[in-house]
Amino acid sequence: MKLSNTFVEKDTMIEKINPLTKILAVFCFGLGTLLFPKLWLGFGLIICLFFIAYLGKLLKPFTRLMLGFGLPISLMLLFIQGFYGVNNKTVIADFGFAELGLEGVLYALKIVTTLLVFLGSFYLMNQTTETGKLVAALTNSGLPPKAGYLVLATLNVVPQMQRRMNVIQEAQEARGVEIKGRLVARIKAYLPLLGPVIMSSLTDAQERGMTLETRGFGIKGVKQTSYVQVKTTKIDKIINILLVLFLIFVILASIWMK
Amino acid sequence: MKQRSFLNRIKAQFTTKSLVLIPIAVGINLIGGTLCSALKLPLFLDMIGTIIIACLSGPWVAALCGFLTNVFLTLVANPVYFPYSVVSVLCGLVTGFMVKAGLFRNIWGAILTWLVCAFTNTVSASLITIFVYGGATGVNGSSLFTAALIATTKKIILSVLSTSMIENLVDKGIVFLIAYLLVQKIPKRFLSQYALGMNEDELEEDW
Repeated sequence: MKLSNTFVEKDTMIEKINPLTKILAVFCFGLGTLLFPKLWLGFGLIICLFFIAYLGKLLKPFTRLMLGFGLPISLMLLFIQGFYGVNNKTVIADFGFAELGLEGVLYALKIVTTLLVFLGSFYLMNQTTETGKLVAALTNSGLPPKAGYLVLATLNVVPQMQRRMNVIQEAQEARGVEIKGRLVARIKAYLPLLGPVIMSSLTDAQERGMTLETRGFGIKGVKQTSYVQVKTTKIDKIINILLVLFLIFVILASIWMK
Repeated sequence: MKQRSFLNRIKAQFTTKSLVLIPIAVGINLIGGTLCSALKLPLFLDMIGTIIIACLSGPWVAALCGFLTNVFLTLVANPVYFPYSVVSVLCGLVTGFMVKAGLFRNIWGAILTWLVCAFTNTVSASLITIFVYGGATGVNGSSLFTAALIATTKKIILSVLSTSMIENLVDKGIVFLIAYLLVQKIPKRFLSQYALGMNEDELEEDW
């Protein structure tokens, strides 16, 4: 599992939109699907998301994510809720060992579409936004700068620690520690890795803390400025209004349809 | 008045030193995950850092560390992990307060903390799996186990709970063992620079 920031600049329209607008979009789409009593809205939004992925030049990884996550969870939930859901009344098919209930199937599909809309829109937001910009936008709109630092620092520290772990692993292998073999042997091999990695990271944290304090990180009553500037354009305002209208419309429609 | 002192006490845990420690602890949490995928274990092992930071800086910092771990996983791995941040926060708090009560000084206290933490994790994670995801997330192999259990017992809640229980007891067992051994190895001088945590009483005597 390689963990690092996945943003790659592709110079598309979507990258230029304000991160906050994208967060609002994730929120509106996801909440809309969750509230709306019929399934077609979710399916429609998923198709829309595929189109947006195409615009953002992300169609291939997006499809891989949607299928890789969507198919297993759909099968699993259809099995669990369809056969054994609590609300099942109408039987649509009898498989011998259990009966497939309509309510359970609908419930499973509802969960899957909502999840896919949330997941897909979040994935697109995340892939088209530089994390630095996202944090800067959030800080501008009231997130404490220290919280912003935490998110960014985490994103930086983790790949660093993985590199450190590789170095220590190589050093231990040079000493003759066997990394491969049976499970017990592997566990034994990894224990002498963890100690040095964690201890050296802790001393690293101490250094970081001192460096930050000497540069005025803990000063109170000062407005911190950010190196990254985020602009709100006219297009952002229009998209924001459209998104809010969409959400209001969906809420009204759901109330009316009930 | 009491409320205010409570808030102040939480604030006192968030010194610059503790704040800097949080990303490192999140990194340690994630190394556990890397370890699992390297060893091909169907576990998470993503709490080692949270426990260590609970010993160093106190429950609320540990809770924030748990939350950030899930935020990080959401950003770089899979957004499915986001709802489970509630679980990480609760586990961080529970561990932190039990450490603060002095339970992490001997092995029996550590075992008690392990059991309580595994129980908290089981209940909260199961509730999220059932109510947010309808029974299975399909992210790891345990979902298949849940499905098999549901087929035999015909009860969704029971199956999810028992899968989660087994998974958590093993997972948290390993995590607490590693963390306990590590915390023993951290030098006393290093521990004492963090205002709140394991050796709060000793500190008060010293100062």
